Amino acid sequence: MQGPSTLAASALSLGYDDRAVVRDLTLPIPTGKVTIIIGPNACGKSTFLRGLARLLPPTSGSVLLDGKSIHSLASREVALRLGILPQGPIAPDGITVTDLVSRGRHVHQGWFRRWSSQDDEAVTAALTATGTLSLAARSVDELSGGQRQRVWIAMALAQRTGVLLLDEPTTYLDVSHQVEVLDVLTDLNEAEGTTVVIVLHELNLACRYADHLVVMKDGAVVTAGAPTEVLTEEVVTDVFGIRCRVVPDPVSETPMIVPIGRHRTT
Amino acid sequence: MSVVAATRRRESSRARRVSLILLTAVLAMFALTLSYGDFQISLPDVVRSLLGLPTPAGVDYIMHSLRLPRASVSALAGLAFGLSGAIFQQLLRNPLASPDVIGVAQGATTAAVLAVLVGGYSGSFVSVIGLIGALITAIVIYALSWQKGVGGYRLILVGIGVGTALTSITSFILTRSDVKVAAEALIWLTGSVNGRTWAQIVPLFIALVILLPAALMLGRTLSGLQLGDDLAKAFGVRVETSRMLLLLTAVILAGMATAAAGPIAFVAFMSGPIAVRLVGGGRPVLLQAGLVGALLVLVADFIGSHLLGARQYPVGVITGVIGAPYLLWLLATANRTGRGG
Repeated sequence: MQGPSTLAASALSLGYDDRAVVRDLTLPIPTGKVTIIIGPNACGKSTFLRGLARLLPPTSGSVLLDGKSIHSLASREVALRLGILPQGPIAPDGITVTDLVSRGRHVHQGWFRRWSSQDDEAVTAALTATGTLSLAARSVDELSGGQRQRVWIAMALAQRTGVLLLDEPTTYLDVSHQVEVLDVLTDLNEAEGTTVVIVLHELNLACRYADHLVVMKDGAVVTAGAPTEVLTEEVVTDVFGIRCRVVPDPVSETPMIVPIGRHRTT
Repeated sequence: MSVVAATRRRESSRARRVSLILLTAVLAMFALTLSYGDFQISLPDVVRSLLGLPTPAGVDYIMHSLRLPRASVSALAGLAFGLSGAIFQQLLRNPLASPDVIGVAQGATTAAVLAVLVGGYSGSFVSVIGLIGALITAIVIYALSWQKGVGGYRLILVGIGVGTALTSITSFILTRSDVKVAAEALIWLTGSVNGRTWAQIVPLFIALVILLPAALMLGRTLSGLQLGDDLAKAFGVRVETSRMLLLLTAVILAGMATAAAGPIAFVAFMSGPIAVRLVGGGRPVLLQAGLVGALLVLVADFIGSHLLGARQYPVGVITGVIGAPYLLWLLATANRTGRGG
């Protein structure tokens, strides 16, 4: 694997038809770090991630991969450097875990380059990293939600890109599996120096696992930086529209958000 | 060997085994079609006749004028329908999306009927007209179902509508035409492999020589497209180009097969799912679907001409009888399993 590429949004605007979702957003993604994007529903964070992965063409501005506009690069060039796991992917009926994860090797093969032992190793390593090697021969249909999500992540890992984007990889998972998925991604970042960008709903886990936290609202970045520096009570109240206290997480010393509703307070 | 390598090997060896068994079955049915009939020809004589060696009186005529064209068009049309159906179904991720359900085959039929009954054409030219009919129909269906991208179910509903309209046009032309051609016209209602000439078969053969390898090469991109456009793009697949090429291949195959043998009911529709069952797993299944198609047509034609008493039935009647219940079953269960749309 080559070293991770640099990735940045430059005056990026994204939208569907006339509806602008992300407006004039400029944001460098720190190379070799874990960046987590948070924000309320419909703030444009998933759209932004899709834009970064060139799944959505910009209405203006650009995404720069290694300093070049990602839309000017060949599909193959991008796929060797940047991988994405979209939200809620659907597996073909009856597909085995091995076959699904093997699909992540697509870009490493060609019309004349057949499956090799190197591909076998990449798939085995991805399954091992996500703790799913024992499921290799099973059918994806038979797996639990947590297992399935780890298999999808294994597929993205098998592509061996220096930059990996994930859209809400912990949705529908219980808390133990959420932590496990984030641990796996942190392992990957620490072992390989992979740049990881995650869109996440769970604020406290975001603060704990992010090197770099990006807070979005209405298609714009409100603030970005180390979680301890950027996540204040004012920011949470402004962005999520809820009163709260922010206290140090007893486990990680990172900010922990304690929401305050209308009831059950002392 | 690692568990990954072992699993991959098991899956690909099963796929190969299925292909081999299907190929053997197709060859066996092909030989049976050549040999069996009112005038029995022994297998050695079949081989001798094919090789141009001397044979008993009458054998050469029956072989080269009757049975070889019949067996060839059965195998080739079946292969083309099976491939075409599997490409459509796997690309649009819906078992209902086959060219005979969504109107593409009907487009080829209407065009061919116009060419034969109104234009008075015959032979290879009809193939070209049928092909153009299929292409135009595919473009019309695509355009009518386009709404910020083509959704699977909208395409199928529009296709069924267009197909029904085309079928009534075909019937209209048939009822207005000369009674003497009515028997010949039967082929355009159900599909038949009887009395086809080489001028009708050769264009289909040429199309398959080019498009079978093309389809198998495009199958590589299909394994990415199967996971959805986003992941296919993430894998570096050129999504729009690949999809266009796959659809074009499938439309040409369906159009050429229809021009040669008529719209043999449900072969395109059934072959893919049967092949998927046989191969197992979630891989794109193209070659096997083509072989299943060829086998279906050969077997159905054998049943229709030899096993149902003195009367002979066109092959499309037999495949229709098998296919219709499957279609009903699929429609009844599609929404329950959530695959309906």
